[in-house]
Amino acid sequence: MFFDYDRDGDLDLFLIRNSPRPVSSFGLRNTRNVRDPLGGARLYRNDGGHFVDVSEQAGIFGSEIGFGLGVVVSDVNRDGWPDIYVSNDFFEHDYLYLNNRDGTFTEAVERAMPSVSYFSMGLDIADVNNDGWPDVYTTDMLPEDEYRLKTMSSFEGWDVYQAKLREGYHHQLMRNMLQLNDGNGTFSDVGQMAGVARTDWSWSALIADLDLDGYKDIYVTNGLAKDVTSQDYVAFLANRETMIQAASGKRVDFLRLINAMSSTPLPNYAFRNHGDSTFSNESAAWGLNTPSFSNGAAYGDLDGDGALDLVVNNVNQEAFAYRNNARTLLKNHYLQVRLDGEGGGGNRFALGAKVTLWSGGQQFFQEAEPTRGFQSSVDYVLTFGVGRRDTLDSVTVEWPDGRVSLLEHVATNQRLTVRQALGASLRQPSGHPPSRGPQRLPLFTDVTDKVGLPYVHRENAFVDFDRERLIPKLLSTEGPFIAVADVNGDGLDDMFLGGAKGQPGALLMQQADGRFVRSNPGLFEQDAGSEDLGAVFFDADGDGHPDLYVVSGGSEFSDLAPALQDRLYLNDGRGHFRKATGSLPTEYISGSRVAAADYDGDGDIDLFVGGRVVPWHYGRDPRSMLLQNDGHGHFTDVTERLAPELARVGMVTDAVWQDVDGDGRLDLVVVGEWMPITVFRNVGGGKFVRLNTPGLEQSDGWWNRIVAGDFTGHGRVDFIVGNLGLNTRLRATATEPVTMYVKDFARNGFDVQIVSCYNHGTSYPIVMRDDLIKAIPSLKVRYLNYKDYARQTVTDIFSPAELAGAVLKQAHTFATALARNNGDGTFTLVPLPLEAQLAPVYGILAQDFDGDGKTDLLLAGSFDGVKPEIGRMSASYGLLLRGDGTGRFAPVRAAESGFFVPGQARDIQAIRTRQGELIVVTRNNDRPLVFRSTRSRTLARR
Amino acid sequence: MRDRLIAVAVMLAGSVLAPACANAPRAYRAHAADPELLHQAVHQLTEVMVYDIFSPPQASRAYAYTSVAAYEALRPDYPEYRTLAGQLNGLTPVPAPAADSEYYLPLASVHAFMTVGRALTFSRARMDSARTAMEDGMRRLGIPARVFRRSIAYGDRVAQHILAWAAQDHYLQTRGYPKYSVTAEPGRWIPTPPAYMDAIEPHWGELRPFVMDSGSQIRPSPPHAFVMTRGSPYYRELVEVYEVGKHPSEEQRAIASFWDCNPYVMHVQGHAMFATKKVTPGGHWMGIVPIAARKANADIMRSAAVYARTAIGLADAFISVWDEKYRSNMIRPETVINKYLDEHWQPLLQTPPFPEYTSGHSVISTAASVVLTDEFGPDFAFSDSAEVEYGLPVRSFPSFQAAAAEAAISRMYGGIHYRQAIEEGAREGRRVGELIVQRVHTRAATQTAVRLLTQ
Repeated sequence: MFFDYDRDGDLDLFLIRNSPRPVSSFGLRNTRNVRDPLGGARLYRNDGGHFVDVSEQAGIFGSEIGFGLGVVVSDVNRDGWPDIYVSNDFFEHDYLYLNNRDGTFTEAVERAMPSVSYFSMGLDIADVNNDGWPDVYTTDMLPEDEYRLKTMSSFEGWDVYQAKLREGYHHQLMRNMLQLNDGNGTFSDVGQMAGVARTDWSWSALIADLDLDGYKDIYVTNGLAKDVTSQDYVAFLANRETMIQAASGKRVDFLRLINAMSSTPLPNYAFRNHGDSTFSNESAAWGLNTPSFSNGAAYGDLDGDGALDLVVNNVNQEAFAYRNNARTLLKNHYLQVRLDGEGGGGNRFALGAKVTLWSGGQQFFQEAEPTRGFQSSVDYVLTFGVGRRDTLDSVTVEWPDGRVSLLEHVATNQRLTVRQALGASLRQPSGHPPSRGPQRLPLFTDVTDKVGLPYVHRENAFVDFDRERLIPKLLSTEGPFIAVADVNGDGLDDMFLGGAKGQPGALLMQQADGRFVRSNPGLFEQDAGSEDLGAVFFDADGDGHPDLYVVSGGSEFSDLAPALQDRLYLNDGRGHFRKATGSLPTEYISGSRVAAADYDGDGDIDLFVGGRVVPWHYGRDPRSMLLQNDGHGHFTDVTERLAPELARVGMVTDAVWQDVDGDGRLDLVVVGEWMPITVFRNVGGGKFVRLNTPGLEQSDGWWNRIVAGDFTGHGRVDFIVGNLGLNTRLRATATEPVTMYVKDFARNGFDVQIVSCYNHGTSYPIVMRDDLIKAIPSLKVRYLNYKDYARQTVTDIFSPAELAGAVLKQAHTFATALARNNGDGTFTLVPLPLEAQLAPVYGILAQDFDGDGKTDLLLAGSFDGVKPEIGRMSASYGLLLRGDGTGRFAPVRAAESGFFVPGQARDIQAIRTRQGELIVVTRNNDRPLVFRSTRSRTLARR
Repeated sequence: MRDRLIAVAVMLAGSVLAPACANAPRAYRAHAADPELLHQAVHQLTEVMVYDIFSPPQASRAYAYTSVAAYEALRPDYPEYRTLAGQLNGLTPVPAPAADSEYYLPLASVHAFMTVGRALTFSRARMDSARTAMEDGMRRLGIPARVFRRSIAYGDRVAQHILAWAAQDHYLQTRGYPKYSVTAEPGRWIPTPPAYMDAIEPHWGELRPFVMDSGSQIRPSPPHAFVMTRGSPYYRELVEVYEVGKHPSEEQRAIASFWDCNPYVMHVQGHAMFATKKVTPGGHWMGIVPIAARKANADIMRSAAVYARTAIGLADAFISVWDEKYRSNMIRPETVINKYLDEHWQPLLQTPPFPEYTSGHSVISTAASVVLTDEFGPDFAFSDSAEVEYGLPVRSFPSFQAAAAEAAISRMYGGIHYRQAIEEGAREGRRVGELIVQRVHTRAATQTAVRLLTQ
């Protein structure tokens, strides 16, 4: 691949190589920094026509662990200097080489991308969402078809995944990734939400506007002539003769083995871009679905009609040459740009130039980098689709040397040749793509280092999957949460941050100078054995001072573990706490959160405590508690007597006290995993009955958080509810729910959880054959071969009698949403924008942050505790949503808002200080982040 | 001497039996003592377990229950043989055949073996067709239909009794127990290349043993502490494995691969993979039994007894060694050598997926050799052709003990065990084997004879 990395005007050479060593000979040890004469990539600098290997001094890895399969150059950070992305097959992660502008590169993939494709094959880099930032699409091997998934794929176990992580191989997941460029050095993989993650054994990826509608589409080639990863082949088809050869140390004849394998040609994929970062596979409609073993592919306008035609290489088959009929069928317009570089140094095609078309604030951006996809080079002429536009406001060309050519009022449907020698001005480009609106100062400033909270959350080592192999997620990494109050009456907010099992919680007292210091450490040390989850400051004993209730939870305990007992700490008013004894009922509930309110109007504050999980029995509903205060800080569990439907309401994650029906009494709204948003109406006398709330009947989701407020301006209480998000393999709709059956299917005293989700109209279990028969050995009789299991549904696996008595859980929606109160007892669930759906939402803070009088939202969350089958959910770095006061929210990306939260955020709270408000965001197994909000106006404290 | 005593016992027993047989002289009974069908049944079970990818402990469990079933179903024809009920943990008296009905118990025995084997394996169609073929063979001997049906039914009853007993051994519960937890503790086992499989059967030591009072009854001494300083006992043994693995002699190489007995070896070539399968270590010894039995001209009853005692020894040996494996959770040499000594070093054999200490092959081979020595004598030379059909050569041994010793040391040549695990493993296996020999008696007459002799 030729490019001008040092911008000296001539073209240098970057060469990727596959490893000289067989992959089977590697252990886990990371030798990325050990150079190998035959391994890794090479960078050759062009010194006057002579190429010099400068790989090492330029910071290019040259080890034998790199199995490079694809390389594309793009100026991903728009600093004017070309960067490099190398896709690596197998265990080594991909490389993102950022150009240091001094002849060297910094490899930054771990910092830039929370996860990358595992068996990365080809790739392309182009701007798919028309924001001027190049996005990265890498191909992998995950089949879309359920049969191929269950027979051809195997996912790494949790232990191996963690071991590779420890060895520095980063989070690698077997699926295509569409890494949207966040414009601030990070990327968000939206491949699953976009619908482009699963294209089977793939090779090339080309991002180009095939239908000329102005949004670049994605074309993927796939297929391998032999099904070499067939699990049945691996386990059962090696014949006796082969085994004898292997056992007797003779060389195994791999060709014969390969000849015995099945062969499945696959249709290629053509993903049409809908313009909102979602795609649909149109390969059949576009005539591109002939089954084949395709690898290399290139586009170019072969017939000169303005639309991109395709040439595709096939194995054991003639190549494809596809004429694109978009111009006649769709009437969309195009503009082609041919760049004529000055060519003094040899770069006469102006490789590295950037072309931006502007039309009414809409931009269309491309880079002149012909090496794309897989072992292929595309047309040097850049083809832009522009929809029905007849003219464009302007066309700018940023030449590789930094000069700019500007053409205004350009007619479409033509091929334009832009000559660097003519009219290129010396004006330096801004370096970044112009933003759509006027630049503003960020609303938030990260002051984490300045504030220096003396607290870091340290998660204990515990793997739920070791106990409950088939559960979909860890239940042991849900903290920490924050409780805020002025505990010593000095007018400054103090806070309590929970500790994981083995770590004491921390009461941080705000000092007059704005520092926070730990208080009462010995007290909390005594309860370090508990996993602290929800906490609340409230006046338990009626002395006017905020006391502290801490919920003990987590899955890393057995039933009847004393560490599951919740705790009440009483405040003497000066911030000195002591543990109350005998004030709380004895309980062994693994809880989640606590909500405090005087719901019965008797002048003291009562509590609702949500039960999260029954350890060892994920899916069975734990006990939740309604605790009535006797006015002196003694609490009685009145659930069975006053709110029997609350006792086993579900796997509760959060609850709020609000008057939902407007009768003046506080009702209770409860959310949880596999639970609908559930309202319990306060019917007086301290009693609660479940309220029928039309609009929320099918609101079962994996809710994490609920926050109340009037978000629609109707004067009624609405809710913002944080869910799993839409950027995951788990997809749930009203008609195609995700389901889970829980029962002791093996009849050995242990619950087994079978989670299923839909794939092309049928609901299949997620569990792969090997894991299923480990949990239920008797099924091996029926599923000795992988193909026997491949198309089985839950009702195929289990008879009605076996399913009888099983717990059935469902989820119908995973979108983080506004639950709009319609005022007539009904609700409407309105999903927040797609930007809010990139990852699970745990922390929500609703306030007016920009000072326009309308409530805005801060969201944060992400979740690592899922097996590779589902895959780390970390595409969000937190999000500011600007509210317009009518229930609509506009996303503001981190680059603009300053609210940037990498890691597994769990809670967000505002803290009043003398210098204004601080926003504290806790993160699991990490330190909290602290932001100062510049224009915030506190509306209400929850 | 011992052989002669047994012969006397058999003759005595035969004379007691004679009148019953005389009542119904049948031509097919001429084959009644022929052990070949039983050998075939055991071989068939091995084949299916190889295909089904049984782990070594799981295979040992299947061998034990099938062999006991075959033994118990045949025994009523041989009153000098004692029932194992009362001798094995939890085994209650096995249903007896009706006194006034005629049976062909070799059929019942093979049927019971195959029925139990079918229930404990997964390729049911294969087991069924093999059983049908064997039974058709017997039918052609001219067994009257009524006797045939009655014998099958009796075999079924015995099989159901054995399966009900097997269902109480805690196996199913251990499927639900926690997985082995990988931690960062130095010296603690972690998954090994190339497949990095999870540790298998972390709770096998909690199964009900056949003879031992528990999996921890026979405990080897603890392994050397994981100390990576030059000169520590651990380090010395680590270097020994490393050095042997670097330059194994032809003989060491041959020994290692002969005793590999890895049921599932993964071969990886790029994205392509295939597995080769072989018999388990227990399966290898269950393959030595017919070799010895044939050489000793053992009839079906004696063969059944040897199978049963050997299988019980193997099963308890596996429970014992697995109990220790997940007590000490010792790290494999490959892991440590790759990390500290040589990144490129690979063991000759693929490291099996469970902790290192003690060596399973050492424990179970020694236990089996003690039982077989008790059966056939200490200087019983034999040619071991147990795995010829899997491409391995024939090796000759002067005794079972010699074979076991070679199987044990093969694990160090193969680069998957330290010397201590082999030596302590052999000791552990000897104790298991001796316990079986002392506690499991198949021949009442033998015991009587021995007692008479010692008086």
